[in-house]
Amino acid sequence: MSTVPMVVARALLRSAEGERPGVDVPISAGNMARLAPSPEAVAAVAAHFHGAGFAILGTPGITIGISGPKELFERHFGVVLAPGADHAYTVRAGRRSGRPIDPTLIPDDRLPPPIRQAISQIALDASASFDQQPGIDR
Amino acid sequence: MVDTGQAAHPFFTERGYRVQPTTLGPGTVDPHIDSVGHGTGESANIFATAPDITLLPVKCANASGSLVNTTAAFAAAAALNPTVISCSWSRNIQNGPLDASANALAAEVASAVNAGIIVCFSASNGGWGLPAQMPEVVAVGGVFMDRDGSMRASDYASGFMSNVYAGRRVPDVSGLVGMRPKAIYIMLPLSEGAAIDVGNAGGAHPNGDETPNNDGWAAFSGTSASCPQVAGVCALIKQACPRLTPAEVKDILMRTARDVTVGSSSPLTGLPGGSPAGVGPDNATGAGMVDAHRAVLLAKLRCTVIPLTPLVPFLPPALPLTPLVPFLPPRLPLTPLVPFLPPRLPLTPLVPFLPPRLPLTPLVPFLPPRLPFGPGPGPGPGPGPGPVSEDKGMAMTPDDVTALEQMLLDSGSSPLG
Repeated sequence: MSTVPMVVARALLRSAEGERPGVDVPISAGNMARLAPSPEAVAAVAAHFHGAGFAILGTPGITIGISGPKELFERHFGVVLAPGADHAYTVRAGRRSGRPIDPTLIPDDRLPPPIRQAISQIALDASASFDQQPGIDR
Repeated sequence: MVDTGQAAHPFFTERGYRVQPTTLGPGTVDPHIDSVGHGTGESANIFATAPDITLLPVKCANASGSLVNTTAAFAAAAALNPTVISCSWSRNIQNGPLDASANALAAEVASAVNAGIIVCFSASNGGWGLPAQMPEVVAVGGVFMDRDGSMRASDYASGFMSNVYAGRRVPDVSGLVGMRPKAIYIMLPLSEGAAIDVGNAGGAHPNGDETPNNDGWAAFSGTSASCPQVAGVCALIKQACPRLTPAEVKDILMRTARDVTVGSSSPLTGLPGGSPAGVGPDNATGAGMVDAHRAVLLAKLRCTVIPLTPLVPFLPPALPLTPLVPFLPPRLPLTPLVPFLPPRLPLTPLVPFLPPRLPLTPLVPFLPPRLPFGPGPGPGPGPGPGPVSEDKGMAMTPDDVTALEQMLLDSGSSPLG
């Protein structure tokens, strides 16, 4: 069994008009047609990550799932990932001083400009809680 | 169902329930193992309401039992193109804006609903559950039914107005959930010695389920249980009327739910008293306790097919056409290409109104109900086909369907009532 820590993230693409889902336009089922990325952008982003050594998860669409070793993520995006609760990784805040910190957001400033322009956000897949045990502030 | 996996158990095999092989989400292993017991147990709630469904388990628990990569697992579930996705997990997000990870999850959920998949999420137990807060999701809360059949809001299940999506009430509807301290309420099957089997074992109710820690049974609930119950009802609704959209299915669930007027939902951070139940929709249980019988009846009515004769049929215009702008011949004696013909009075309307031609033969014959519905519908306007034999019954009109829907919604009766 592999012991290499694997990381899973998703690139959320901009719409064909360049709008950012969840930032410029609310994410909803009714907005999916408006938020759809161009097929060329989907293909280009998927090809970029595949070429960089990431595994592409599922069929690329408005999001593109990628996975790979922790070291590959750190090298490709220039970040340090820290293991958090429940085996989920978070981005260390070292590169984000002065801005609100979103520990799930992977900086995209090292990506080639055409790829960066096609992407709205790249997010680590966060953990979730069972809805079986009681508790506040879980 | 996106959960901790699906273990084999005699409960499923002896009843002939259809369970497909488990799809592994990223970061998970061992498709035959559910070390937590959550997924296996909660899946029994789906079969409780919809025994004929085919379950497609998607595992998102790692070897230590933690839920990991849930967005990727959800996307894997959506790729299977199911009718319904049931998720008994959440992130606790009280305020916006959403972080990047939540945005990605929201995009996957919205994409699935846009593709016609009904997505059910648990409201949470003491948390501000997301994605349940998303308006397109069927958010499921909890109602406790006592031994005498009386119902109240479960103080274990979350209920609130979303601070992320303005005007969004969570839950939409509720299923069965126990009360605090542990909501030990529904006996469910799981792997012998699974984490919940051990964790809830022994003790005396309500602090323990009074079963051994390795017997493959544990009593538990929470909105983790009510969510798959409602997901099963969604499957029944779609079976009754396959053309319904996710929004229409949710509408039926809410219209036919049984109002729950007492009790309060779980305390939350920022909402220490929970949300009180009251008459009509409220933040404690949403529209109330789901009523599968009435929901399916309404779905059947919605899907009643009535071939309508168009009220305004298209008829080819009678020649010659009367020009709207009269042609004035030039002074020279040119032969006009389009000869002018004076209109013939009286003018025949181009699109005359014709009464529909009966009979409106429904594809699914409607047999007029006996009392207490009263006399059956009339034959409708226009010439009819003559006397209708009693075996065929009378034709049902759209007005009849509307009236029956209203009668159904107005009635408080159900087999449970």
